[in-house]
Amino acid sequence: MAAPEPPHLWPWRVGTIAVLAVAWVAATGSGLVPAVFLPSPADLWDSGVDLVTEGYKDRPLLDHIGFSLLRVFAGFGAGALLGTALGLLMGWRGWIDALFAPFIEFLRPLPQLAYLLLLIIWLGIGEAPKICLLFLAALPVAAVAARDGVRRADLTRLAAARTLGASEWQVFRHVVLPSALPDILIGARLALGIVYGTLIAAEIIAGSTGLGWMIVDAGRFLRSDRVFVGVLIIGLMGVALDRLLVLAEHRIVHWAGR
Amino acid sequence: MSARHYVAFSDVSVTFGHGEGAVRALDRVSLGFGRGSFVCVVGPSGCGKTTLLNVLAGFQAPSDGRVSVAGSEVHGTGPDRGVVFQQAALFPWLTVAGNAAFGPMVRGVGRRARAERAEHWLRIVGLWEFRDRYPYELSGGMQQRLALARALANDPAILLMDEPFGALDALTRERMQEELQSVWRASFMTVLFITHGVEEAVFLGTDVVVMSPRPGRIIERLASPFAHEAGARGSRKVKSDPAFVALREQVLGLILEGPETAGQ
Ligand SMILES: Nc1ncnc2c1ncn2[C@@H]1O[C@H](COP(=O)(O)OP(=O)(O)O)[C@@H](O)[C@H]1O
Ligand SMILES: [Mg+2]
Repeated sequence: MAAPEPPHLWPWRVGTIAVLAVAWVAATGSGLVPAVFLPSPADLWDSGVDLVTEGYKDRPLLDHIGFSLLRVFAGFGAGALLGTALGLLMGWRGWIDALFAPFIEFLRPLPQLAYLLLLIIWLGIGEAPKICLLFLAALPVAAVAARDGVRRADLTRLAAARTLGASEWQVFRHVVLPSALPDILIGARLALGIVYGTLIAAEIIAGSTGLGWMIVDAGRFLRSDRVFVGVLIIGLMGVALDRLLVLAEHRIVHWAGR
Repeated sequence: MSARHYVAFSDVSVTFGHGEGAVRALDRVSLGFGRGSFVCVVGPSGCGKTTLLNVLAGFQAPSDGRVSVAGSEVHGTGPDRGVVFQQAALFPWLTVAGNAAFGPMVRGVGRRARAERAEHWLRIVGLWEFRDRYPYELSGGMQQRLALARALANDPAILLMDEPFGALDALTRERMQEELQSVWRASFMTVLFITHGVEEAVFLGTDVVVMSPRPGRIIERLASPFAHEAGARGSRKVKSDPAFVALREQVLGLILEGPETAGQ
């Protein structure tokens, strides 16, 4: 767990953002960059207000956000949960690892777009292939993290628990699981990042809902202002979700690294 | 060496590996001691001290021979034999109180009863006011005291300690020795204490067992009277007593020169 950032570094952060904003205003205000490439701050603001009040293509903006979040949570939730459970078993028993490792290790580095088409062929174009895609993105990452966490459990601690009278199940429940928790949470954070990154690909699959779809659709009509607003919303939501997980991490595994 | 001793190692051998690279960590070791003894094992590093403890703890099955407690052979670990390791090996996700209550908890002791037992031992080792802290907030000496309390809260008949004070500074170590001794004196516990500190062994033990390496053997066993005297006389007085110094030098001689030259 990284040490908290010292307060005196904040000006640097704000500084880079300020410089970027000034360059943006200058580039669009001078007319050097056409609006199709880069909308001006005023255009972006109007477009944002329009999206919020009027929605996009017959749907309120919040619906699009809600659909995207639902897909992320369904795919990530199921993938991380099942992946973690599988990874715990894989780390605990060698034969379970031998059984599943080939699939997990093949799936993990595979670009999600590579199997997207197969999912469409198998599952059609509804919600199923979308959520399945996100699920498959999260599963191997969570599994490998949990397995490594179990393997990192301190052997002396396991021995200590046994001499205190713990059964094999109690050793697992009271020592192995908490030992693996820091790794499990790091895995969840990684998985959420990957799922989030895969969201746009998932929403390209037909349909007419979701932030990803909105961006792709607006891009088709060269509405770069709406693409920008969509990117901003997705980006900020991503930061917020990641921060939420970091916060949970600090609260739950306060002992990690000590 | 068998049934008449509470703890009995009978011709115990442990070999690691096979063929050329095989290491004989214990070579036909026989050792017996009665209930309530405080047995200190000393010897150079690699002479098989940890292996000896591991066999009694149940971590390591002997390649040959048998180990028994109260007449029945040891198979695997058991809560009748508590262990304190050199690294405290505490559970950092549990509070100090949670650590102390771990043994009773996994053994199904009720919430109220195990809290009481944890409190009893935490008070004795002086950690009661730290009960809601986490192990990483404690100093090395306090962590080792917690490891001791955690083992004792299980009410073990035998306490096994593998160089438990090795990582502590001299002052803390001395205080821990006195605490351990008073706990032992007030109980019916049998202790097997591994150390490479000769003074520590002679001060704490009712029996001092000296081992030598390659292959791991017991070369001498000496009775030490000081474990029973220290409480009344204070540890500094005991450690400067000529009889104490003589015994300490004798043990040191055995370790450095072997049984032939020492003691003549
Ligand atoms: N698991 C093991 N595998 C192979 N060799 C070991 C193992 N454990 C101990 N040994 C060897 O056995 C000998 C005795 O080790 P140990 O009992 O740890 O000695 P001590 O505790 O007195 O330093 C050493 O030579 C050590 O290298
Ligand atoms: Mg050792």
